[in-house]
Amino acid sequence: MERSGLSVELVGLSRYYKDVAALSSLDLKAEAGELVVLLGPSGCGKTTALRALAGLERLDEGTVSIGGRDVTGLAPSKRNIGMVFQSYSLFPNMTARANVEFGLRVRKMSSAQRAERSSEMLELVGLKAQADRFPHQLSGGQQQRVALARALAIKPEVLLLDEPLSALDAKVRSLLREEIRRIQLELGITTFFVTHDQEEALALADRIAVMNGGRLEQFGSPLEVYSHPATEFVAEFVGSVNRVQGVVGETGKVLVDELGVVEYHTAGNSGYSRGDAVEVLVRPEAIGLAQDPTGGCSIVGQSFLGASVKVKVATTRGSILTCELSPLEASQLDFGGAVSLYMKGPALLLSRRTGISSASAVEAQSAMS
Amino acid sequence: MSTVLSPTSDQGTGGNGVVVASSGSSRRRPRRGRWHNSIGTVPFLVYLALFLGVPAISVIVTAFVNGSGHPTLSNFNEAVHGVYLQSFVASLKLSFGAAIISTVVGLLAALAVCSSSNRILRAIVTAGSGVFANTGGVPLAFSFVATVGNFGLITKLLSDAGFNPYNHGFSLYSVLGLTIVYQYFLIPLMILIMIPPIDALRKEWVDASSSLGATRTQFWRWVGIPLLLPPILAAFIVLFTDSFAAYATAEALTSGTIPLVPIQLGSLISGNVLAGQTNLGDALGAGMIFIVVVAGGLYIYVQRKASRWLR
Repeated sequence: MERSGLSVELVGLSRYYKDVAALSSLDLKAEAGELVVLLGPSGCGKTTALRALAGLERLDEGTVSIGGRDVTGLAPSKRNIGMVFQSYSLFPNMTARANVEFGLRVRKMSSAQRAERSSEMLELVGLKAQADRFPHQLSGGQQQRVALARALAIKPEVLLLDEPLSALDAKVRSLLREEIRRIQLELGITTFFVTHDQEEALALADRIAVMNGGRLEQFGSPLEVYSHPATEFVAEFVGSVNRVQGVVGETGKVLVDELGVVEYHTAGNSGYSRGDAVEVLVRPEAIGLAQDPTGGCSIVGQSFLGASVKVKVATTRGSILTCELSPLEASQLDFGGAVSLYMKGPALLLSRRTGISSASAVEAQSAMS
Repeated sequence: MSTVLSPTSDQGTGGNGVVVASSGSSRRRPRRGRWHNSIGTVPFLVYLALFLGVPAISVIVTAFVNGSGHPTLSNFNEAVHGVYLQSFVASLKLSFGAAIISTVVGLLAALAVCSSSNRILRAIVTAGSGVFANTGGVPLAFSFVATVGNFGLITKLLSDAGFNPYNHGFSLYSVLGLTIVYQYFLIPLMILIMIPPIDALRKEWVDASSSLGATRTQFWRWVGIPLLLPPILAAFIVLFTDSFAAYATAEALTSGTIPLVPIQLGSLISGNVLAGQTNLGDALGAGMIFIVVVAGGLYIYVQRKASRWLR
C-alpha cells in the first residue's frame, strides 16, 4: 500500500453563527502522515473545524491548504478527502461492498477495478466475508469499519474521522481505535480525528489540538499536553487535577499547606514572584500517601479502577484531595488509619489567586520561611 | 497488507444480522407478554371487523346472488358492460391522472419544504395541508365553480383578457376538471405523507456522498430516490384509492353527468335509476374492492422489490 499523506494547514479559520463564534482564528498545521486529534468538549468547534476542512462548512475567514495547495474554495467532492462520520453514515440501500464502491463508481472506474479495490479495502478492515450484507445486518462496529473502508477506497489525501467510535461500546471502541491507528500508520495518511474523549486522544494522537470556545488552547504531543498543559482548561480537560492553595516561595517552589513545599516547572509558569498567592494544580497520581499516625489526614473514600485506585483524602485543612495509587500501593494502606500526603512529582500548573489579602500572603510567606 | 481485523471481533454488539443466533432467543419476549402488549389494538380491530370486514364480505356475497337470492354472475356481467364499464374506465383514468399529478407536484413541494430552513413556511404548509387534505364535497365543488366555473371569477378575468378557457375545450365539469379539483386535497395529502420520509434522509448521507466525490444528482440517483421510492409508491396508492373512491365532490360538481363508479354505485343504492338493483350495486362495490386490493398487492410487491435492503 502506497503512502499517501500530505501536510494540511489551517490558517485563521473563523466561522460565526449569528454572533456566536463556532471557530475563532484557528491556526493548525499537520505534517504529512501525522494523526492529529481535535479534542474538546461539546460545542468547542472541533467538528466545525473538521467539516470546514472537508469543505462541508462555509468559512467566514481563513484558508485551508492540503499539500501546499489552497483548497478553500473547492467543493467537498473536489478535495479528495475521505470522511467517517459519528453516526453510521452508510447508505442503507447498498450492501457493504456497494458502499465501499460508491466513491469508485463516482470516479467511473470499471466494475472489475471496483470489485478488486473494494475487496482489498474490506479485507483491510476484516469484513470481506460480510461484503454482501446490508448495513442493518451489521453491528455498529462493523458498520464503522465499512465506513472506514469506503473512505479509504478512494485513496484520499487526507482522512477525517468525526467521533467515529462514540456510538460503540467500550470493548469494540478500544479494539477499533487500535485498528484505526494501525491502518493509519500502514497507509501513512494524514488524519484528523475528532473526539471529546481524552483517553482516546492520548492513546491515538501524534499530536493533540485541545479546543475550547472555538479557539485552540494547546497543540502538542500527548505527553506535552498531559504533563505541561498550557492553560487551566487543558489541565482540567485532559486528565484530572486537585486544586490547592499556596504561596510562591523561592524559584520553582511553592508552599502548600496540605502538601508542604511543592516544586513546579518555571517554564510554563512564568510571571510569579515570591509571596504571590496562587492556586496549585496537582495531578492525582503526583500525590503519594503514607501511613502516618501523626499525619492528620484520613481516607474518606476509594474507588477501584482496575489498573489504579482512586483514593479521596480529607486533609487537616478540611479540603478533600484525590490521589491515584497503584493497586499494590493501595493494598499496603490501612484505610482506617491516619495518613500523610507527599508529592511524588512537580505541580502541574500555577494559577494566580485573586481577592486574597496581602496580610494572608505575608502570613503564609513567613510560615514558609 | 500485513494484518487484518478479525471478522468476528466485534460481533454480538447490537447488529441485527450477525447476532441472530445469540440474541434472537434471549430477546424473545414471553408469548403472554406479547399478547398483553397487543390488547390496546382490540377495539380498533373489532371496529374494523364490524364496519369494514362484515360489509365487504356482505357486498361480495350479495354480488353473486340475484334479487331472489339465487346464485348468479349476471350482476358482474352487467357491471362490466355498457355504462358501468365506461364508469370503471372513467374512474381509473381520473384516479391515475389525478394521482400521478399530485404525486409529482406534492413530492416536489415536500422536498422544497424539507430543504427550506424557514420554519414558519414549514409550519404554514404543514398546517394548511392538514386542513386542505380533509376538504371536499359540496364546499370544495362550490369554491371551484365560483372561481373557474362557466361564470367564475377567474374565468371572467381570463375572458376579459381575451382568453376564455371554455372556448378552448376546457370544462370544469369533465374528467379533466375533476382531476384539477381533486388536486386541492390530493397534493396536500401527498405533502403530509412525504414529509416524514424526506426528513428521515440523513444529512450524513449527503455529506458522505459529497466527500466521496458525488454530485447532488448522483446522490439522488443512487441514494435519495431509491430510499424514497417505497414511500412514494405507498403515497401513490393512497392517492389513487382516495380519488378512486371520492364521491361527494364529483357528485356535487357534475351531478352524475360523468359516469364514475362511486356515482353509479350511489345511484343504484339509493334506487334513483331503477329499484331493486342493489345486487348490481354490490357487484360494482365488489369491483371497487377488487381494484383497491390489486393496487395494494401491487404496492406490496413493488415495495418489497424496491426496499430489499430492509429485509
